[in-house]
Amino acid sequence: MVKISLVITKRYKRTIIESTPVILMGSLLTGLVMSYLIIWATVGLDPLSFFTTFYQTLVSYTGLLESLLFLTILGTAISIAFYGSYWNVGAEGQYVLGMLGAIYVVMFSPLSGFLSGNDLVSAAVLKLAAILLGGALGALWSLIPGLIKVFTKISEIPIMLLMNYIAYSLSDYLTAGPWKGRYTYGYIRTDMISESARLTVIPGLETLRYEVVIAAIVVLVSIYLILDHTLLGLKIKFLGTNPTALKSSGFDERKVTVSVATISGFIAGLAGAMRLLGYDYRLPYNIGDGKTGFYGYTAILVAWLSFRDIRFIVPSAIIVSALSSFGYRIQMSLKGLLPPGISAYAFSQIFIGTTLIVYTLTRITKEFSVKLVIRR
Amino acid sequence: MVYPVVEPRTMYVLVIIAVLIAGFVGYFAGSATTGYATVTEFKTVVSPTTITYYPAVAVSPEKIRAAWIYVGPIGDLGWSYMHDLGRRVVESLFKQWLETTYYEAVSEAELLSRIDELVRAGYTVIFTTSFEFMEKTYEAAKKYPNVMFFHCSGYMRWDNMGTYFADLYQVYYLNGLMAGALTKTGKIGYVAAFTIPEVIRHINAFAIGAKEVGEQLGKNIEVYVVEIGAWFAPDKAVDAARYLVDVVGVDVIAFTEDSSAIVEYAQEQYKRGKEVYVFSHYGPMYEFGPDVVVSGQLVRWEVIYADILTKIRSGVLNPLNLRNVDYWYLLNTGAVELGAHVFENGTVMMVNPKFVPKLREVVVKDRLAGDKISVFDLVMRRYEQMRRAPILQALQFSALTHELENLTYVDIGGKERLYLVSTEFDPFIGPLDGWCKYTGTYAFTEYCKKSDKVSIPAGVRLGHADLWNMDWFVSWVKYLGGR
Repeated sequence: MVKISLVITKRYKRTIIESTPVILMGSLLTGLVMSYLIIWATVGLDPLSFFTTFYQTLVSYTGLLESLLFLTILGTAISIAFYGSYWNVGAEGQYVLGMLGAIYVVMFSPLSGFLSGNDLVSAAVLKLAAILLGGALGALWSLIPGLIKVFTKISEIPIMLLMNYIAYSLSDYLTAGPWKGRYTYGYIRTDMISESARLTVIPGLETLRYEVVIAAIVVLVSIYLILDHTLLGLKIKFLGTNPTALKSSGFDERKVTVSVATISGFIAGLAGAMRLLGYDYRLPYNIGDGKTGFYGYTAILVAWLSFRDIRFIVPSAIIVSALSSFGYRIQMSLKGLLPPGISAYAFSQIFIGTTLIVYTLTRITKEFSVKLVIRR
Repeated sequence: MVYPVVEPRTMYVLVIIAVLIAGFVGYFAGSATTGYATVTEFKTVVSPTTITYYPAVAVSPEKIRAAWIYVGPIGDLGWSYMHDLGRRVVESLFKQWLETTYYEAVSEAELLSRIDELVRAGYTVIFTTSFEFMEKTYEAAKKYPNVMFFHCSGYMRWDNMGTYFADLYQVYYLNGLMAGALTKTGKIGYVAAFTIPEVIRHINAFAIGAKEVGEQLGKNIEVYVVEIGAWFAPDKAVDAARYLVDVVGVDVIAFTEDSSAIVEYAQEQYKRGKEVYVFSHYGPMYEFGPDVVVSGQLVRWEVIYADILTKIRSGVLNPLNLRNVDYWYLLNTGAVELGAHVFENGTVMMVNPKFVPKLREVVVKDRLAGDKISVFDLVMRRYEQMRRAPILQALQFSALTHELENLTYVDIGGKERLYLVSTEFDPFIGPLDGWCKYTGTYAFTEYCKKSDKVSIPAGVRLGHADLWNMDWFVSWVKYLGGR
């Protein structure tokens, strides 16, 4: 009798595909080739226009920068959580809460009344307050599953996923109810925030806002410093790698988890607040139907691609935003090949998909050897 | 646990090498294709100097590159599909001088990025086809003064931003006449995306038609509205339809949602032995429900697109003079049509043949002419009455002339005296009674700013502003809220 078994063992020797940049670039290139082959097999696109489009996507960087910045901020938020084994899949919800906090401050809080003047100082105070409240609400939203995890040992992952939907519903409730706009022409949505409360557009780079650029740099650098140069950073890393050692060194594991949850949620909330003040200017109804751009989920890919290494956040964010932007651009080349009236949209997600599959496979083979054993 | 074993220095070297390789590959790939000429062209377009010479170019561009941005996927078979069909018509028709492209399933948040990409790729005419795109399109228009923007269904305009709309309310009225004849319970359902003035107008027109016939047949016509809060949400639409059928007990449904989901739902009900009749919306959806689709509303955006592009090509429209361009095309222009199916030869099936005998059997009195007539003939008579208004189309082009659209006659003196301006018939001629959906400071019309009830005196024909801002329901419409 033939017996087939799949033997998976953890590697103890190094393999050639050991280094992160090699895996990252390798996955990207293999993923691109694979998705090209899929497209070629289905509609027969010529390689030249495929790779030219990819090149043009990278060259026209202004379109990329906007999503790059948000993915960097959110990717950092998720990464620091991953460091401390706090699986923050709830960044999407924290991001929405950040939006709610920001719009509350600039539109509905008592602060909005007496700061509504046009002078720069009061506008700056208003914006800062909005961003901070957004961050605080994000932190609070992340703290709930954090505390549940700490005190009841219930996994934070399902709770966070559910809380993302609660955040959507909360936003929709406010948008359709107490915050419903007056100048929306019957639409269910809030009014737009006033001009003075909006973030500053960078002249020449209209897709960017000064505040967001600064925030991305500050967040990235400070998280890097926290992780590598503070006791908290050490404790977080300990928590992620060897929680027993953390406990036996006399530290309270629970306090570390709570601080990781707070920091992570705060940054995600910050991103949401900035999105609202800098780009969206209002809350839409049915926000869960992709109106957040699903940044909170996409950023998980960024954190995952970066190997939980802060230095790789930006390269990973570049790859993810380039691939999604590429997905849009390739629609143009594809539409001539598809029968008229048939949607090219389906192809736009293919690149991230294939790249991630290759990446995941390489990463698994990096850590584990997989063998098919056939015995007679 | 995973930690990188590479020195940071090695990593940066590798990243730089990878970028260089990508750059070289891209450069050679780029220079090897004919498409490279396009890149050079776009550089000219975005350079700031362009603005100074634009007026000269605007006289009559040799070639036009036009792009469409759709809110849903073009596979929705409704709204976005029909816009894309319009694009395909003008692309084929004007292929000597027109090049087109499109983006589909674009959300409001990413609209500006998509516009940036299109402008950079050298597109100088951009159509944005969702009300939600209004503010962002306006922002883009100010950012790119040498690009012409046309926004569908909005009201914000600028020197280089015009608006256009093909409105279906007259077609909804015709469908309402049929609904009134076919309903057994007198309860009619309407699944609305948002209760914005456009949709309110459609619901009212449909309700007016249903009552005109239903009342004469001794039915107590009531129209129940459920608002789903999204333009493209097949699941929510079906949920709402199910609620209307199972809980409220309606047996006819019309809707404003950009997919064929409700039609498919009704067909499914038919197979289970429950008859729910539907009217297809925007696209030809007859094929999804041959047993249940009575008729529907069709749109021909190409009528407007062809007009806009011809006027750009001949230099009539340019980025300096779009401020008053506001197409408001009705049944008289052919931009909208009654029907749910387009035959292979391009002609329209106005009413599903399955329902024609039923509609011919039911006889009612025409409240205008006073004679007895079958519902089918009444639909055709009204259709003709709203089709004929030769001078109206000229007035429907500009925001400056809309106020003349509801003039029934103009006195030109001499022996001719009265010259017919507007259509012979319109559903929105008083007497009409209604209640305000939006009141006080939330209201859009003068009626609802003053009171929460509306009463249009007999013989008064609502004007463009009344229709455009409609914030009140006729009294037999019941709003059931959001689902």
